[in-house]
Amino acid sequence: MLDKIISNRFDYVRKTFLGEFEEIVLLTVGVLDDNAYGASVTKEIETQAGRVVGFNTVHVTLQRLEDKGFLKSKMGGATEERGGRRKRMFSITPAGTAALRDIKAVRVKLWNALPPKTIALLDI
Amino acid sequence: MSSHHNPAPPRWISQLLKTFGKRATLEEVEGDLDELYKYWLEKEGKSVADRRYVMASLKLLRPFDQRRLEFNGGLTKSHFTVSWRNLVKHSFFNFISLSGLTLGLTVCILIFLFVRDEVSYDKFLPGYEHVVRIQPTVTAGSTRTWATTEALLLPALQSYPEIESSARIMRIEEHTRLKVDSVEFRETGMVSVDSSFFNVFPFPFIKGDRSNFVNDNNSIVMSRAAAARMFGDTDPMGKIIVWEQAVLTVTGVFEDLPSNSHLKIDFAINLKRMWPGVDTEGAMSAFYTYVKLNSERDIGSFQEKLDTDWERLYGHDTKGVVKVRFNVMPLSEIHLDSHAEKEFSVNGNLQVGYIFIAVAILILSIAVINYVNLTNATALKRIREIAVRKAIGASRRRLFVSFLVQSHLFSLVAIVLGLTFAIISLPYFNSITGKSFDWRIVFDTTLVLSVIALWVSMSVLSSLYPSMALASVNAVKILRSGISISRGGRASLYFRRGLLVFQFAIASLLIVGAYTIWSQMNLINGLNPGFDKNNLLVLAVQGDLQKNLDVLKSEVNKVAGVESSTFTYSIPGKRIPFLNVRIPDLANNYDATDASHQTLRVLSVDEDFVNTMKMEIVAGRDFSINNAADRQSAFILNEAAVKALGLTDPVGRPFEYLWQMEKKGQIIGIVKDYNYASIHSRVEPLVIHVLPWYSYLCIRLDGQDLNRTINDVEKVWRSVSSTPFEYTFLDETYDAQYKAERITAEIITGLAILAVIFATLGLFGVVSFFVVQRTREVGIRKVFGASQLLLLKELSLEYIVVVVVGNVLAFIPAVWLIDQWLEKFVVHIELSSFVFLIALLSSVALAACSILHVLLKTTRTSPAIVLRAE
Repeated sequence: MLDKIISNRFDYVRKTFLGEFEEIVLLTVGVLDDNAYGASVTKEIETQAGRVVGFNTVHVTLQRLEDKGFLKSKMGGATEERGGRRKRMFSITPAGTAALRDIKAVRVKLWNALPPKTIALLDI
Repeated sequence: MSSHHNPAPPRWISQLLKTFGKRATLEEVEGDLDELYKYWLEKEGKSVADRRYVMASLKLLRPFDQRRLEFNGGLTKSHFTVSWRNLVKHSFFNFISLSGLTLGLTVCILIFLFVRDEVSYDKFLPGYEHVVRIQPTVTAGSTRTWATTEALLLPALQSYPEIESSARIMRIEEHTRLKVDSVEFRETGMVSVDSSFFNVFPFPFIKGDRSNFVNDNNSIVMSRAAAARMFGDTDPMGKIIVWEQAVLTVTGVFEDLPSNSHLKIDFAINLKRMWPGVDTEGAMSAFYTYVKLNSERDIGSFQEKLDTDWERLYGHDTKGVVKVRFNVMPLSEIHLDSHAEKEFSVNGNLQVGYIFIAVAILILSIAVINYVNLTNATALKRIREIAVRKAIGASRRRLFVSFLVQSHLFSLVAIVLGLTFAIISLPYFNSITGKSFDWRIVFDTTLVLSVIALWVSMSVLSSLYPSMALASVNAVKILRSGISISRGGRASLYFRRGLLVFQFAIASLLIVGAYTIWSQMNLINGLNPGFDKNNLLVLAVQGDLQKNLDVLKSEVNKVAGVESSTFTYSIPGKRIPFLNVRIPDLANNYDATDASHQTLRVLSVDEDFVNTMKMEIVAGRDFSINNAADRQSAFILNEAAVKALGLTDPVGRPFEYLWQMEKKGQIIGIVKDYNYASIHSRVEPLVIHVLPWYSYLCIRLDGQDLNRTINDVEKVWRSVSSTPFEYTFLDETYDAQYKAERITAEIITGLAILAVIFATLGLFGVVSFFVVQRTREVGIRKVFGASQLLLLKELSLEYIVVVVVGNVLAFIPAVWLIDQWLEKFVVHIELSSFVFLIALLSSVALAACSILHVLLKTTRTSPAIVLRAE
């Protein structure tokens, strides 16, 4: 029993799982190219995806993605607009690009495998 | 920085974020939020922007944003599962702990309510801190403190500058008949007061106000409840109430006095109207004199002034023999501390409260100890689980906290149950204590706060030891050696034993206490009061009856089943007033050592009193109807009076009253002391004389066919009186004095029995855990030839020693406490070592029975079964 609990523990750390929201944030960082930071990502998701997201969710997700190695960050220049505070600028790492590519590949593969009947029903 | 021209997010939230947000990312988070705030403001307006800013910030505060990288040892989720499993697995032991805690808490809550109510008397009045009552201690032969003064004291006080206002209350007889139109109401609680009364006691008026009462001499004001009784829904203002010859107008209705007031007032009329010359009245002590001082600080100096000025205030010639001290009694202390003659209402006595507080605390301690011991024991069984948790990363702190949480939850259940039981038992509680609590006590802030404090301290105390002991378990050692149960360390052993000793000390104390209270009550109930209280019918005579007394008595005596009857001013259990008396042929040196004059209680009766009450004449003779002189000049003293006056040969001695009343004659007989007040008080000196000043007719029945006799007496009553026929039996009213005590004794005995049961169950729980662990040892010993008897002795010795030591430790506090309690009784049982022997033997026997089963099971197990596994 002990072995099982301990191995579960390490599985938890090793697993590089990308959630749906994490995927959206990761993509948005990619879209914003070299202007990706907390506030801009939040605004972009709101306008592009049309869904209301809390800043805290975005902030935490960005950090988590960085922990997982999909993003890297550095502190950027201060602007007057932010009361002279610097931004943390995010950019995608090769691992991030690979993860996005993997996901896309899986999706494309699945889409291609959809039977014509279902495609008709989906009205595409 | 956001300037005040531009809308900015609420300051508090930015501040909160600065304080509790994560330091490392604070700069960018603040920046991002600022930027987003402007964006939201533009897009959706200030309120939405504020809300989103607040929500985002709140969720970023550290407690909510802990990234869960630390593994929690499988505690958060599985902890509840495991706790629950433990509860179910040891449900019997948990039941013991829980029921003990619940009982202890129920008693604690009820006692809390009682004691707080007792100490809160009269504190509802604004400015109660500087209201005092003046209570004279009069020394004239004997010394006595009175709740009342003479009327002339108040005018004499007016020269003191520290008095803000003052007022007298005079009670009108116990029952008054008030007429509204032609309907008669029999009411209690009527007083006549000075017009300044409502300045000293600012009762809130719901109709009218105090000014009418001051200005209008024919004014009567009444309480809300009395107004509802007499006028129902109609407006009582301006209505006419007739009391005897007086026609009174209702000019105000005040809010009912709360039950925690020493005053019980439903109606107030103007003292000056009733008695215009009252200010010079100095013949009777019937006025409660209250003074409101300018401030609380004046109390001390006011008392000093009264002490130096007492002769002027007393207003009579002291003849060099009377000494008076006017005591200042703060309003809020009257209920518990005064205990003077002629109190307005029955004073409280916290003694019973103290006993209950002690019992509640003791029971709660037993329960907490059970909980500690049983948690400790059950937790030792969990030692492997804890070791595993530690091995996979649970920190010591987390384990500790989880134990605390578990015990908090457990005692929370006990608290909720305790509160529920307390509320369920409130009606019964109210009927014993005369209080009026209901379920709304759950909104009582002090009670709730105290319960929460009790909850936390109880939980922390009871879980501290097990949590520390278990949280510091050495995981590696336990997992490697495979020891499943440990006895715990040496400290743990002593700790456990100490708690058991303490528990049995408490149990023994309670056994001894309950036994003492119980036998004292039996003693009192069995005491001969000195008269025959059975089959005595009591009728109150007042109103128009006073003119027909002789007819009433002679007709009543003719009723079949009536043996005799007597008129008396007072019946046993009711108060008897005082007179100053003197033995003229004793040396009259009129100084403090002069025993020839005394202030004694004087009871007015008719010639049949001694005979009807079946009292015993020990010397001389009884009054005789055939001896007309007995009405004018005969006195009967009780034995206590003979002793107080220092008479050696009392019968035939001259005797007379001083001052208030003219009566001279001689002592014709001595009656054996009888308990005319209460068995608690020593029998005080008493003089009995024949004088037609009567309040009651006592009828001695032969006890055959009571119903018919009472019916016949009622017929006689109707023929002479228009007042309703109401009767009581003397034994009922007399015994009612001890009802509260009897119930107290019963409750304490019940609680003591429960306490002993809980202590025994606790011992049983502990023994079952620890003896079972020694199964292997027992097996090996058996292999080596130990007999079962020897093993039984070995195993039980530890626990029997614990019980005996507990009993011995209880001995000294028990003797001390019981002595204190018994001292209050005039007649009391002697404390015998027999009680302690009983307590010792019964607790040893109980303990032995409870552990015998486990011990037998252990020692009977065949060694083959136990040792096969090795």
